[in-house]
Amino acid sequence: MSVPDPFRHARSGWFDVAPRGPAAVQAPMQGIETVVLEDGIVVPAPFAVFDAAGRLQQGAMPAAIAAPAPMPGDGGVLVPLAAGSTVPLGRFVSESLAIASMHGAVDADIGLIGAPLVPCQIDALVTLGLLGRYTPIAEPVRVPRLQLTRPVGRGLSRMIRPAIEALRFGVEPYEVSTRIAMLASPDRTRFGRINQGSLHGWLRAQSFATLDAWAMKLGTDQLGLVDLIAVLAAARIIVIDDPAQAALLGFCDPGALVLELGIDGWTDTAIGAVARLFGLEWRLIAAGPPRYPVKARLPLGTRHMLRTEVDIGALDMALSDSGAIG
Amino acid sequence: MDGPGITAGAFGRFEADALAPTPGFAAFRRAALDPDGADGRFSHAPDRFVDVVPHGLIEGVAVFGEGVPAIAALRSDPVHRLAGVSSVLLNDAVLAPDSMAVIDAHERFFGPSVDNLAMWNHHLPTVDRAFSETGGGWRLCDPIEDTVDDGMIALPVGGVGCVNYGHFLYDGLAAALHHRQLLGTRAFVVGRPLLAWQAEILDALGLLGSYRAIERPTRFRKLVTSTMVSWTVSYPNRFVRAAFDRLRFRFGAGPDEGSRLFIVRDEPGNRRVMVNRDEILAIASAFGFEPIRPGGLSVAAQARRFAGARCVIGESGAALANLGFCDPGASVLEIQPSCFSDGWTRAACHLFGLRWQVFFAICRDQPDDGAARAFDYRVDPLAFRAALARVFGAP
Repeated sequence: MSVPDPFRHARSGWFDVAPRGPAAVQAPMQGIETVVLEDGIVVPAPFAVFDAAGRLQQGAMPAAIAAPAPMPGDGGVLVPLAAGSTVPLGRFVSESLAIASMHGAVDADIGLIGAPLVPCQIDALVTLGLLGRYTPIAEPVRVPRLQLTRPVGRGLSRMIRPAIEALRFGVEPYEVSTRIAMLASPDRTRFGRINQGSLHGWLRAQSFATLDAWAMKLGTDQLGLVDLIAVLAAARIIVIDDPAQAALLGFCDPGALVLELGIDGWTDTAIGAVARLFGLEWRLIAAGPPRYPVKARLPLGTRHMLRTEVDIGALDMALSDSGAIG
Repeated sequence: MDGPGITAGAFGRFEADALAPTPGFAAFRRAALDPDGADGRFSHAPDRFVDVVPHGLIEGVAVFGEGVPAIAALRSDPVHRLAGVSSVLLNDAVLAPDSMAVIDAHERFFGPSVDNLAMWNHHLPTVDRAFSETGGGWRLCDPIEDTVDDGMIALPVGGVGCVNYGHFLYDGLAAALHHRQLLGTRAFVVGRPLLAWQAEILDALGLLGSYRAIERPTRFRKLVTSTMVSWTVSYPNRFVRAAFDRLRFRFGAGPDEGSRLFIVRDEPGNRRVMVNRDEILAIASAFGFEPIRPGGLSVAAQARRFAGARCVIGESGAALANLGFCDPGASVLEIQPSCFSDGWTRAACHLFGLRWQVFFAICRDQPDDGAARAFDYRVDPLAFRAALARVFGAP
């Protein structure tokens, strides 16, 4: 069985992420296309979509796949979404919610399907009036007609913006601090930062509030989705080290300064790309290449095999150079 | 929003700030859906000023042409204003479709709904046949119609000037789009009977089925509008991106890839006339630029052509609104008459992630003082050729 030609919404390519300098810093621009699948299979977690012949059309090939159950319901067209506890909020908003909102806005009959949602994902769908269209599934299902919108190639595309703009429109900025440090918690990174204490000391001295977007916590305060958006909307300087949550920078208003803590040789273009897509100022503070402690003990189960050190002097200089931003 | 106000005559005027703030959009939505919900406002974004000086202004690679005064103007005014955005909920408000003027139950104009009149000599009867002069002000000529559907929430599609392509895309449309999404199916977009290209845009955004055309001033039980209905084209803000991105999603990428477009502005009646256009087009053609006249294309065709463009040259004007369809990273050279220094394209490029550069052309005479503000200008061919080589390189 053949899959019909996809409809191409946006082409993949490259774009510059440093608007004022020479166009040398390039990031991949992801393409987006939609294809219709008859009798396709949706695997909720890890998210994957197969066509009727069992060929992978989106997501990662699972080690094993349970026999799909037939999809109950009226046989309407369903849009599969990556969702659930394994999908970071940034990815859910920029990919899944964007697809849901763009299809949902022009076709009132279209449904959505994916893994059971976590609370912040529910909040997002409620805000856009789409929760009633969502069918959560715990196991693979076979769907008579799928409308699959999928990325083509690496990177990010302009299509991450619409859902973020819609959510942002429904929120008034709430200033907890104009300076936010959005850092991955140590248990979510493979890098051990040997001067983590010094970094946090510097952040405190510079009046940065610390946001853990995975845990939805600002300091010790638990946030709802609206709170998170409101806090980011009011922020004017953001320190960030986690590309997985880069899309959340889209809630910041244009002109905000993004200071990315990158690592030489391990840099990810996502943060710079999001900054460019949303009209933010972006600076990269690159740590030296990570070290692997081959002569030191590395107890079984140690998460942080790679050790890095933030150049706090460079970070301080980037902040000082920010001038009137704030 | 700034810009000159109007003389309201029989009507007063109020700004969004005059209404009570609503604590959160959920409360704003409840008030809109509740027949007894009071007038109120919701603030989406504060006024911000963003530094958008093109780097090349300092390096000397992004600003070209004669126009020293205009370059000086850019240096002295390096920031783009992101005008604050508020929505307002009004009970028993009137929408006059010709001008899109909104009048509340206390017979006051909602200021932003008429601020774009500055472009029509501040004269409402010029653009709206429902109003007439009276003692230094204006009044409605005929009785107001009441809407037949008390359950609907009216969302004006734009403001004064929405018959202009650029104003329609920028002034208010994105707010109506967001309001429709966040307020739900009781919200209907309203305005005058649509032109074909306007209907095409609303259809692609999924708004055409919920559009209600009105011919005369009409009172709505509930009306939600925003400060975006005026001056957004001059001071674009982040929210305008949603309309362009959604249109791109719907229309698709098109067959072009890496093309070079020269937006030609030579329709009869244009007020700003490039006197040596043929010569300039020939130079651009040697660099691989293809002339495009967007006004002769459907919106879908325009969006697809610009989606495939990586380099765009354009004369300042409404057709540059199409830059919003370009993919991020596209390189733009705006030909701007030095007596027509205007920053909106610079700001829009910043918001859309495009590389903006400007070539200042030489005005042969000053704009006339009338409403038309017509003038001729000339592009220095040698300087233009050098600029293309610097900005775009060989085709």
